[in-house]
Amino acid sequence: MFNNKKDNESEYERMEPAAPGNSDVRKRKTSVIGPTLIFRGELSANEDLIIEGEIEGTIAHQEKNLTVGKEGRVKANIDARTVEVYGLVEGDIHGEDVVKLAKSADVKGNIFCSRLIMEDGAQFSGNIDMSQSKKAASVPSSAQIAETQTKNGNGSGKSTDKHLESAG
Amino acid sequence: MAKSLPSVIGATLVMKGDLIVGEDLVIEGTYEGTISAKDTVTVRRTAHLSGEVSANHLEVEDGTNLENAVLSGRIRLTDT
Repeated sequence: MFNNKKDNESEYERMEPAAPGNSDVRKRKTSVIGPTLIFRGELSANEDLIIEGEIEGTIAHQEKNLTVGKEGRVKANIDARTVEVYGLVEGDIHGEDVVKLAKSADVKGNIFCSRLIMEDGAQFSGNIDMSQSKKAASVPSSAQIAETQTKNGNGSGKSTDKHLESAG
Repeated sequence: MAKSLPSVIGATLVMKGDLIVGEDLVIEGTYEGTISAKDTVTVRRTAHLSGEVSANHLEVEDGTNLENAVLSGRIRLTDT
């Protein structure tokens, strides 16, 4: 009765990439691979990139954001800070920060990332490895905290619990 | 029918390979290889282009680095 479609929109629907050539996109220094573009080879970049076309080869896109749009078709290993997928990807995805798979996404390959967001309906075939996270490495695990306390002669359970609470 | 918006190879993009495109293409970065475009290719002054580019229309900004580039199509040199 009070079904408000906007309220029910997923995060991805609100976040869908801007149309290629949008002036806002250029202001943000974003490159756009349009829907009719087919490229085979090596691609590297140091700016945000939206792919709505077809790319086959390698994509090295470190420290920036890469979006594979709904029309996008990528057959390549992807390496970027943030990767958002709305289209098709065949290859491994390395996301230094976060990898997002929208409900329209179809990914065949392995995902290596710190954080993964997968929307209901997204198709994925492969392995997920979140152990190579840089952030995870900088935050000590509970086992590491306990080990440190044991070395310092401070290995009581209470103390460990406190540390875990403050760490959590 | 509305013309589709252009693809943009930004200033920090480096691409090596073969490219086919149906819409307009703007090159601001580095491209090595072949480009086949059905419409207009605009090459900005920041671009470094080498290889073969064929397009219906080619617009090249004055001062563009065209190292070992072969261009074919209607070519127009433009001011920045």
